[in-house]
Amino acid sequence: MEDTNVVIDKNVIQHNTPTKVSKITSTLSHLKKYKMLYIIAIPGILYFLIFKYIPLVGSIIAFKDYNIFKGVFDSPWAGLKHFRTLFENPESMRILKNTLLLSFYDMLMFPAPLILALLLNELRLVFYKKIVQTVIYMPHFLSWVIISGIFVGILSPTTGIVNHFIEWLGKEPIYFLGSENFIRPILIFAQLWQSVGWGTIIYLAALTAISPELYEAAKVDGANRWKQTIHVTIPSIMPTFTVLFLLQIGNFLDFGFERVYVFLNPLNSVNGEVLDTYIFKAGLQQAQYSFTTAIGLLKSVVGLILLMIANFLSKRFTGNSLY
Amino acid sequence: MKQRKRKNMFLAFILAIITAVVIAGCSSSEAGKEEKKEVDKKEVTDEKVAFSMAIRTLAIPHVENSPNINEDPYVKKIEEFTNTDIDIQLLPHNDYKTKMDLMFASGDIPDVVQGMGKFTNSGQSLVQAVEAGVFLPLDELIDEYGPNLKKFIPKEVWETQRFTDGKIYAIPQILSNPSRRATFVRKDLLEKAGLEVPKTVEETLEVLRAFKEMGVEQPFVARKGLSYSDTFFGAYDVQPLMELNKDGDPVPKYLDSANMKKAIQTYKTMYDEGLIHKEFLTQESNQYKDIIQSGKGGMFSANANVLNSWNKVLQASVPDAELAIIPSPVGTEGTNGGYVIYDPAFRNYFINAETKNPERIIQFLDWMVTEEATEFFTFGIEGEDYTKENGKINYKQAEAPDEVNKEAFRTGWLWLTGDAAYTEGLLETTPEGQQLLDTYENVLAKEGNGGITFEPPLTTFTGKPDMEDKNADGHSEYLHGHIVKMITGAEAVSDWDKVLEEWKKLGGDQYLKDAKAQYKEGKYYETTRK
Amino acid sequence: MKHKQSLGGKIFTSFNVVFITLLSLSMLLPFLHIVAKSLSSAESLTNGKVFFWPVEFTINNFEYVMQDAAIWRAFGISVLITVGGTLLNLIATASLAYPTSRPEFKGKKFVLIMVLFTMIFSVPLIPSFLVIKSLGMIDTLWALVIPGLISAFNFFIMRSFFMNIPSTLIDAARVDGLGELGILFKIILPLSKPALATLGIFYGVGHWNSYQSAIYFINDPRLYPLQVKLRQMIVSNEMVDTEANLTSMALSSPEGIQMATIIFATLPILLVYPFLQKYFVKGSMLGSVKE
Repeated sequence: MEDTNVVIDKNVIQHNTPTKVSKITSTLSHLKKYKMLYIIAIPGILYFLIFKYIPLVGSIIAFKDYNIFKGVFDSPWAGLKHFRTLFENPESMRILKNTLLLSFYDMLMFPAPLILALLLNELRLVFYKKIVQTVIYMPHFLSWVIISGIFVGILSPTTGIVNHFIEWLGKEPIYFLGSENFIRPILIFAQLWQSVGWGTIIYLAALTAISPELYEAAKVDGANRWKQTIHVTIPSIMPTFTVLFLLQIGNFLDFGFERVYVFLNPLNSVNGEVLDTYIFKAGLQQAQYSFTTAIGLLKSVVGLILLMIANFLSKRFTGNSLY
Repeated sequence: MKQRKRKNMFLAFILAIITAVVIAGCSSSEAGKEEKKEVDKKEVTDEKVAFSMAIRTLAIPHVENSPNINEDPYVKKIEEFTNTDIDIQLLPHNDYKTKMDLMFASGDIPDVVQGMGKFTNSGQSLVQAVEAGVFLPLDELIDEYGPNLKKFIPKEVWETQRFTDGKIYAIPQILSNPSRRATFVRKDLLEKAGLEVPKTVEETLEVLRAFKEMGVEQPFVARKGLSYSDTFFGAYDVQPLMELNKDGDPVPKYLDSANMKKAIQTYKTMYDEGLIHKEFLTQESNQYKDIIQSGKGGMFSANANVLNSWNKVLQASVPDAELAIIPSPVGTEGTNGGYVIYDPAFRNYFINAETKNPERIIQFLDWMVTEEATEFFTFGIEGEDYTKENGKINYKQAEAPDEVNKEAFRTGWLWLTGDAAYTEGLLETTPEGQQLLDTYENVLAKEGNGGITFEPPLTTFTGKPDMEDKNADGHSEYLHGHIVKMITGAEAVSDWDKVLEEWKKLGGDQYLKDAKAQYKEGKYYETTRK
Repeated sequence: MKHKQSLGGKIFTSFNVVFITLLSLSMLLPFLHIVAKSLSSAESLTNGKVFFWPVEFTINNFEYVMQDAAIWRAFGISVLITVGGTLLNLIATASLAYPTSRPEFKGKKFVLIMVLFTMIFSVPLIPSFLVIKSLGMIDTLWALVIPGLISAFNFFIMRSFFMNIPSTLIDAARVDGLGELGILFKIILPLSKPALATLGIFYGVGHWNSYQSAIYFINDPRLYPLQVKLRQMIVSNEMVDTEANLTSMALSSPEGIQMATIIFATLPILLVYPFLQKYFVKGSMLGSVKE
């Protein structure tokens, strides 16, 4: 069996200019040989068709004035009206700028879970390591309302610990949340705090998949811990990292409105308002399904383009890619 | 060959599924047919009728925790009274609007659908539903089957239920006293300071300064968005409401630059002197409540009906403390002071055009304002919640949280058409309650600021949510941002005129034009004092 | 440990321990704060006295939460959809990830792009509601599980794990006459325990924490999972300050009960991770096979 398999593959490779007929037959025999592979994949493909692609057709309401009683197809066309509404709003440029900047900063923070996972990997006390792992993923379970409460408390100019420290240094206390200068760092930091531990899970799993023999070999070559990390651990974990990075890029402009919304107030929103909070507020107004869908579509298109570029570059330079 | 055939069959199978789903998904709203049923005056059946109602939970614990609201003894009792079999479908409080939209999209529309008092405000689709003929025009039915409702609900409230086609589409639950919010003060502190109840803004500031000296942590409790702390905008009558200018055109009250500046200056003074918390921008509603209930606040604004329960909580930690409602301070001569007056209808009920017995549904809602029903909703079930001696009712006052929740459910939720402001009968049973009733009558009825409300709302600021005024909850985010910066000193109060100029450029001018046009068309109503 | 650590190594190790300890503390303290609040009296909460240790210790809050039959039912539903849903998720994800991880699967690129696309373009609510409705899933627990059967994100992660499994192993299994399903269940999955544990956590925590689909697709409150109950309590109800609402809130020490509910709703899922950690160690099997 194995032999024929190899032979068939070789045949395909050897016939550089196969005739159409032979191509079809070889395809067919290939299909026949691996038909179970395809059958196994069918339920998953059906799932995506039914639960994702059919509803996605509904996105055309971005170009319509959607009326629930007329339905997706019979609602009147509105052309690019909703996109125009977005760009005619003088605030839009500011919101777009904030969104891009915050997304970019988020990207800079992307390696943080990997670094933390590597640090955890260096802990030698197994019991302590397990406790730490459990503790650092706890913030993931706190809702943003509660997290913002914690940050408001810590950063308070009168009672917060941060300002106590600042005062101890002999400086004036700062109302961090009441200033547009601090909102972006706060948003990034809060996200980091909430999700860095959660993010390590996947790297820790990937770390266990590295063959101990690789480390042994490195040790024989006289590599110390630092060198082992550089030459064994990081290269082994790179594919996982790349996949995650590419996936993250696909959702470039997505924040989840709650994460930002809970920290905003009139004194900081100049630098804090993003598309997601804007969609949320606009959605509270009347008859906005079309408008919010339009903004969502815009976000997705940006994500798609960035992802395609990143995937191309990654394939070219690291050999890792999503497709 | 066989392979290909199977593949084709498989493709056909997928296609069939997809088409089936698409067709099912897209032809959903069968309820939206144009034809309307003739309201023929047939005999009303005496038989038990069954109908369904979609009602928002309003976050009432007894409702949200009920294993099955339709098996609740009070609901059962109502069915007994009215010879009906009702099926209540709960709409979650927090996601009410989306849930309404989904309900309409699905085409499964219950016989009765509850709105939030207006046509708008209840999800994006309620107006579309009325336009699509989903609901029954009710004018004739109410004349015929709702005599008690007609008597109980004032004419101007009925007017708010008229759609643009001139017909009434919903039965409103009235809010008899639309000044729900009030100014509270720590009476014990006031007496200790030897000060009179302040009437003007200046006197109020004096009181707050005295509180500050006495060591009160937050003399005036202000919170995020200046929500529930717009007392001084009210004092100068510059809340985000529309009024007529001297040409008879509707304009927002904050265009009155002189008074607006005075109001902002008042907050600024309070901020500078530490009479409001420096971090009021990040003070959420629960912190505000904690400050008050632990006795660290001197003066604040809240809904009037919390007076007695907050007093109880406060006195548990500070025994000598006492909260009292006082007339809201007045800034300029001739204004009322106080808070934004609410819409006169709290909830409203639409009836599905395809329901079999609309007349019985009207009668059901009509029964709720009869004497029999009033006694039931006020006091509950005889023998369980109260006893009767020689016609005199002995009500067992609710004490435990569960009892309180049950009472709140019965009087504030299940009583669909009862007065949403307060339950008069219940307040009368205690001395504190009687006092509160008196406050409603003699203090709150005399204050509050009304204005012109457009229905349907103006669409000028569609896609610009920051420009939209938030009525009782404050100025638009755009204006509020400038107001806050003026209060904290980042901008000068005198710049308000510049802010208004900018506001006009950002769409304010169009807003004024649109308001004027819609006012002329008569698509508006006015909220007024009681 | 066999080798003596260099000085630099020692300095690094001590810094590492200190750093990780501080980081963990910053994440632990908020939880302690919540626990302390849930065990304190209402009065001490209003007075803002509680930090990391209960003041006027009481278990009233937990009693209040636990005596509510509705919350136990919600708990049961959450456990059911978390366990059942995660199993379905893993099977479905693996059954698409396995074929597409094999070079023999032609049209792989098409499937991958198709999946990726759904991760970037989010599905609008109303049409997806209508699809779920037309399949008769509204008001059933299926509506909480099936629409999220395969997450694009998790699919790609699982696939990248599968791709690390050497082809020789699979070819050998084929020689032994094992069918593709057999390979998936007998070779691939047992070798992928760390991946399964990781994605199990991702899916499981997702199920446990999700409330939105329940609110949209479930009308019967008896089928609400725990998070819906929690959300009903936590999200502020400023919009509608009905008399009923505020009176009841004022008397029932909302904050203590809120905190007790948070603990009640978070602790079970928190305990899952330490339990799964052992698979991360066992999973090093995979590495030794690979050569």
